[in-house]
Amino acid sequence: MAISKDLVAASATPLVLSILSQGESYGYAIIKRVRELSAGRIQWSDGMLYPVLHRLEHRGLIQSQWRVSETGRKRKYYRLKKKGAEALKKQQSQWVLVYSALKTSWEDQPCLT
Amino acid sequence: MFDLNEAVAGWRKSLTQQEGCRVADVEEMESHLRDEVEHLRAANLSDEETFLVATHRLGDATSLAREFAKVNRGAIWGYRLFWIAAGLLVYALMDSLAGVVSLACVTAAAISGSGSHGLTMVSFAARALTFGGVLFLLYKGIIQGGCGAKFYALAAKPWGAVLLVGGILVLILLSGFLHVFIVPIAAFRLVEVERYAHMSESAFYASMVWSVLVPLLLAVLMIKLRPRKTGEVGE
Repeated sequence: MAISKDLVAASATPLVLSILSQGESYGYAIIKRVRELSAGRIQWSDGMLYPVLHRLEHRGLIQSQWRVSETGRKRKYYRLKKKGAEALKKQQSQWVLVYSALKTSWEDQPCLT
Repeated sequence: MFDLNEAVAGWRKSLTQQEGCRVADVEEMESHLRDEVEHLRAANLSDEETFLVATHRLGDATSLAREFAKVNRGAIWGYRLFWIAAGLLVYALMDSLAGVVSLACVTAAAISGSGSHGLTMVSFAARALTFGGVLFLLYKGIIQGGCGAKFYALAAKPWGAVLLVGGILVLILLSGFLHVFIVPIAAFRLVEVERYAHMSESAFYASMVWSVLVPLLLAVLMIKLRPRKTGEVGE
């Protein structure tokens, strides 16, 4: 089952922030990690990650730096900033709230499934 | 034979031409593309197959540019203003150069004894050739040679911007100096009074025709080169 487009778009920011909270990373590795985490069910068009990263950088949540990678090529690495960690916490509580609301409402109506 | 570097260069170019993408964005995505290609190579795919799969996964240039454009709005306006300002400066330079070249040519023609009709033609032709020559060089360098991005990258550095703007201004001043002082003084000394009157008259005629033709020409160029809505291409 693939996740709907709207949900993919909405979850992009918390996903990127959570992955970066485990240490700095770069675009290609972030996408690979998202695939692992969702068992391939969250399908991003790879290029779309970069505007998301740049927007987060504009908002001051993450920070980027060009460096030469172990392959000898230039690569842009991203790191979570303090403001980003705070934003992640907020996102977490919001998603948990939405999830628990949905779950409770489905428990009230077990015959639906 | 499929050349991966050539294919990547072509892909880069198609993205760079989209207004929404900055050079750094394209570089970042190229790094991604090359990571993906290396990953797919390990699965025993040919270079051509890896390239096709990797570019497909990244998404098509038009929709990528649309997403980047949302983030880069400020930069896009900076880019536009840069080219508007560059266009104005270069136009001022072309105008000033055309003036001095035509004055020099007319002076030479007057010395060699052309009548006032001939002088008008010479003045006009010299202007047209100077404009045409500069436009041709710009077209070769910026549109065909792809130097536009290099100029923009240079202008992004403070000293680069000073160098570019300063260079053009110095050229304008230099050709203005020639136009206002050196060539007229030479003409005064070398041409007889009556011929000098013919010279001035024909220069006026030529610049009159010129000032009508240039705006018309620019208007035609603008209509011809107007941007197409990129979203509609190939959809």
